[in-house]
Amino acid sequence: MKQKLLLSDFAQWLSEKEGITKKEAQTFLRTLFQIVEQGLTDDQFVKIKGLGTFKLVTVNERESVNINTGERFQIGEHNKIAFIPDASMKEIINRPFAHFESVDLSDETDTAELDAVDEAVKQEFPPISEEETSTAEESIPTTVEVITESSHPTSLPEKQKDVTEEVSEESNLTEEIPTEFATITEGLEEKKAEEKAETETLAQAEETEALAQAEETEALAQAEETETLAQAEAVAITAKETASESQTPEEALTPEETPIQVVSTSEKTDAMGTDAEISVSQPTTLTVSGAAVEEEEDTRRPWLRRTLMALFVLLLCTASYFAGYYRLLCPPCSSTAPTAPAAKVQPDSLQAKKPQAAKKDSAAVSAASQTASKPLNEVKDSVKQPQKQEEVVTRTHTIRVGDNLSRIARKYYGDDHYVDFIIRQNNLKNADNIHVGKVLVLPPLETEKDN
Amino acid sequence: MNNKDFIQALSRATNTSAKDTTKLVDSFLQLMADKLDDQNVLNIPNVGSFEVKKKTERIVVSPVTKKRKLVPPKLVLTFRAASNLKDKLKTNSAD
Repeated sequence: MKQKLLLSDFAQWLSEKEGITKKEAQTFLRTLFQIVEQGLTDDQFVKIKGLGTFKLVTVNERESVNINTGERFQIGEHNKIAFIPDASMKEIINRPFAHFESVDLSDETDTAELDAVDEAVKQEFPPISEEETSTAEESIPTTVEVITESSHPTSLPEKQKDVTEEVSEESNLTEEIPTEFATITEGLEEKKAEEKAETETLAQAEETEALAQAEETEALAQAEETETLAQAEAVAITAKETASESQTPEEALTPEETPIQVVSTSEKTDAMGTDAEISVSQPTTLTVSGAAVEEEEDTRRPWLRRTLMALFVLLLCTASYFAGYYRLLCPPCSSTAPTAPAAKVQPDSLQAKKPQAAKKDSAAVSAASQTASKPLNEVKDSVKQPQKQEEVVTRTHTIRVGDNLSRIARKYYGDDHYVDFIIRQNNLKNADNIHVGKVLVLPPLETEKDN
Repeated sequence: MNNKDFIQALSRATNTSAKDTTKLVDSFLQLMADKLDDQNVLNIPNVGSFEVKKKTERIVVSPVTKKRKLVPPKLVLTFRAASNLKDKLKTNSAD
């Protein structure tokens, strides 16, 4: 049963938190709820920010029957007290389940499957009495919860539903929910230990076999590895089971195995599957459904998915190869295509034409500029014309005050290492032997076009 | 009675400022949210009890898309009124 907390406990906590005496806190809380009552009587609703709304709801008159005498009587119109928590409170309370989301179900998972599992659970754990049931179910939900929460949310419904449905038939529903609930949150750790003990013995015996089943074990184990050890063991058992599929003495105990595999491979209505399911206990069912929903399609027709993937990868490879070959994705490189001899010819001819034109210009320019002291403008103009293809044209530069060779080299060739080149081209015996007005010939760097 | 009125009434009844009562109320609610979980119940005599209940998963059919959906489990806070309070308010009709 749940532990009862009193207002005095809260008063204690409140006094510690707020630095008021316990008595003060107690009176405060009592008054708080008195005001709530007052508000309900006066206004029919009380809204408290951060908690929720208390509302008085009118219930219409209805006919009812006296259970003992069987005579009909009227239940008059009256008020009911309703409480609706507000969003912030809802969120805080739901924190353990905050990450869950609604999931679309595929058409294949149907109630038939759920019912079959229902039966299985019922047979395996026949409800005895309320108390016993709750304790018996406690271990079940543990495994269920443990596996479910970690792996797939879908697996939970099966388990939950089964236990809920069948137990509720026999015992009190409220008993059921606390039991399950307990397992999910704090009871979880205790139950894990229980479950561990259960599955450990089985797991140990079969673990070696499970290892042999590399693929199956890995796939499932990976999914569960992050979760509890028990889960991993259960999975290992399952995977192992898949391979063998008939460990009679242990089948009853390790239901997880068969059902999971069966479900994932054959999908719902397999004779083997149902048998396995019947002899299954909770964990299997959960993991099964969880694994099943996810892997059904894959394991059903593994060849289809794999061939599709292979084709896709192949397509990508060929596409990238051709893209690379023709340099489709490479913006600046234009003439490096290996199978374009025609293209290659063109730049050569272009090169041949331009230098000639440039040389003419530069000759004329240099002649004109040598005498003038402000030839720069002209030079620049003439330079601009052939400048369209910077590397191809022979340019000239007239020295002016403040120029130096490294700067010129950098400007025309992009690097001041070309100073030597300029010196050689212009036959400057002495690098310092340049005066204002001297015209430097700057031929194109032929090495640039080499490829 | 909305939140403002409630705080006002409470501050008047406890002879504390509205600011202080708001602070106290907020910290109390925080405590509630922290302490209440699936293992315990807050019982206030003559008022009622606050309990956190777990709602199991269920399969629903969306009326919009006609698809089957799996609603995950969740925890909800519920309030059960005590019988005296219920009786007191049962026959109070709307003014």
